[in-house]
Amino acid sequence: MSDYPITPVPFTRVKIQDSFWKPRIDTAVNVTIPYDFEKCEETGRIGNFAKAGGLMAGPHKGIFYDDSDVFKVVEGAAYALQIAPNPALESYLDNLIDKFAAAQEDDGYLYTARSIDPVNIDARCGPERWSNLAVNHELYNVGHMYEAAVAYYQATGKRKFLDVALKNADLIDSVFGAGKRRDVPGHQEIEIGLMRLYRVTGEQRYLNLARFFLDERGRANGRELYGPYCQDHMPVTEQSEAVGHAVRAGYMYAGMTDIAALTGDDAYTSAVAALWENVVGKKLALTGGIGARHEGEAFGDNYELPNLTAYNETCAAQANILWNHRLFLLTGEAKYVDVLEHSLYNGFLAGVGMDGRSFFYVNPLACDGKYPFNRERAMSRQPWYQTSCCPTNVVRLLPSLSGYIYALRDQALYVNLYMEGEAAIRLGGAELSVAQTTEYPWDGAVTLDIAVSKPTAFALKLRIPSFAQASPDGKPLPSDLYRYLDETADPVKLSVAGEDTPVEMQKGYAVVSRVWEGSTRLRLSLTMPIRRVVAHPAVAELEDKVALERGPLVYALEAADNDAPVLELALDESADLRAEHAPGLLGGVTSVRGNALDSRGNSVKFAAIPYYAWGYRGDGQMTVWLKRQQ
Amino acid sequence: MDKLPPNHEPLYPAGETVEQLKLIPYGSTQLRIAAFAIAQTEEDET
Repeated sequence: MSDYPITPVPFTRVKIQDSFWKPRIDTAVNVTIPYDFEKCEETGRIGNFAKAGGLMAGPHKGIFYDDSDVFKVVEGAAYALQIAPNPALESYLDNLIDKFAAAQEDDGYLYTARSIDPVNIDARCGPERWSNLAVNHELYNVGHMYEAAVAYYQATGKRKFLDVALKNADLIDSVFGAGKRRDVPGHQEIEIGLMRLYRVTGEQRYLNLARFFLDERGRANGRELYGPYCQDHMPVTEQSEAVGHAVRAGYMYAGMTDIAALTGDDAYTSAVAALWENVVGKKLALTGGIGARHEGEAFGDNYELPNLTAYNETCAAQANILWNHRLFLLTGEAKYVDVLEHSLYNGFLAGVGMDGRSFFYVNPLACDGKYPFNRERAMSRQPWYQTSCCPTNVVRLLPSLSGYIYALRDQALYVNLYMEGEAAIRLGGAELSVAQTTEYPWDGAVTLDIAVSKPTAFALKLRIPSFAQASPDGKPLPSDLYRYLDETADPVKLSVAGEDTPVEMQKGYAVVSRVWEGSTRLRLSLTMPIRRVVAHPAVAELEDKVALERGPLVYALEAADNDAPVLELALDESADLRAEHAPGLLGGVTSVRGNALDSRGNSVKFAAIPYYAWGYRGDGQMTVWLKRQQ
Repeated sequence: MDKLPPNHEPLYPAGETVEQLKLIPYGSTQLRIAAFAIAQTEEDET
């Protein structure tokens, strides 16, 4: 079985112990997962399974895609079980899985919106099975079920849920394919799920079916195309511009990357590379968010990157992370992790409330204190949404976050993210322990203690984030969409076993090749100056604007810290800027301070906070981009 | 479905948890090597 040439070190072998991410992970596990289940109970999402299974009376409640929310939380809960055993949670999940099994029809079909009452069904679901795939999420929902079922099987070794998923996949495989029904889901996700089933079972039919659903997009074989909103306007391997609904696109691109890895099809490899160039070169918000438009939750035109009205759905940032991780696994290039890291620390993290019970669905780069940019016509993080894809999606990523830190390829160990903690890794017959000590993202000093069970030759590849590199290599993101105004950054410093070591760069990594013996300490110093960012001149909304970054973090000014209206502030090119760590502010943040010019040209003090930490202190103005005073 | 357990090695075995992470204590191997080196030296001297 061919697969990605690079294998992530699984999250079960990596423990994050820092003060930045660990509280977020703990909150996701201890607060958000039980909270999400509570909301799923309260809103009838879980009751729908009981009703479909004849365990409870009553009509379907909510929307036809609500099944997927429950599956997503189960997937996150399965990861939580692998951080630490939790018999109460496992027992709750077993009970839930009994309801899934009950809701499944005899032939494997599972879609509570139809099964509860096929006669009085929401018209959008279509009168019969598979009759309105463009809209009804019939295949999308089960894609999330497959992911959850695999996660639960891997967490517990219990097969019941996996068997439900396989029975469903077998049904869908019997219905769809060449010589059978030729159609595609309106919302991609089943492709990723099928490939997870393929990986866990080795059953080729699931890979073939995933490929069929992707190959079939944009081809009118006896049906009308669903159009660019669903990325169904041309064959996927011919697509080179990111269009339509951003979450659908992100999941599709991730699925296409899986196909490239699992089949070695160059057409898929070329297509995802072209799509990535387009997204990162022309359609990526500085925060790593994708999907500029509210209308259709969609990508805008090239260089259409608004601030106040930017959509940048939290789920789309997560999709972007999933996709870029796969691209890294396919190529070993650090530029994909640069994008992943930017989306993670900014566009994604802003969407998850520190309390674990509030979420941004929409993530603009400015707020005027009036326009209710968020879903449900709100300006603040909301406890839940009628469409609650984001609150239930984030619990899939956070508990498994440590799986994004390390990866292996032959005799090479990649260190992609800097987060304090420990890892136990198997490499070439040796056991490796890697301990990271760092205050990242506040400080770029990283100590790595590596211990090996026996002398082992391997290349350690330390990602040097683009922000730590001098221009022109140093860029906020790996394209010409944004650039730093300053030309230089202090050089990256590396010492190995106490000796200063020249930094040899390959594909964005500093490479240390040697025979490792016993224990070795490495010290990596990534400088974190405050850097001014400007955008490509083709971005009309960002003309004569400047933003601030420090390390992987994008900064924002908001009303709570500033007397002057922040949307009117201008930053002089020569203004001194300084970083100050405030342990008591917003869970502990490093703020950026300096002087700006107000609308009358008066010099006023300003403070900026990391973008992810905005929106916790009341409604008011916020902006990432300031006017640029040259 | 009888093919399980998988014919493709999963990323991690079922039931593995972060909590069980077994690490080589930093410095331990080096200390053993150092102790061995000292013993060797002493042998050489005698």
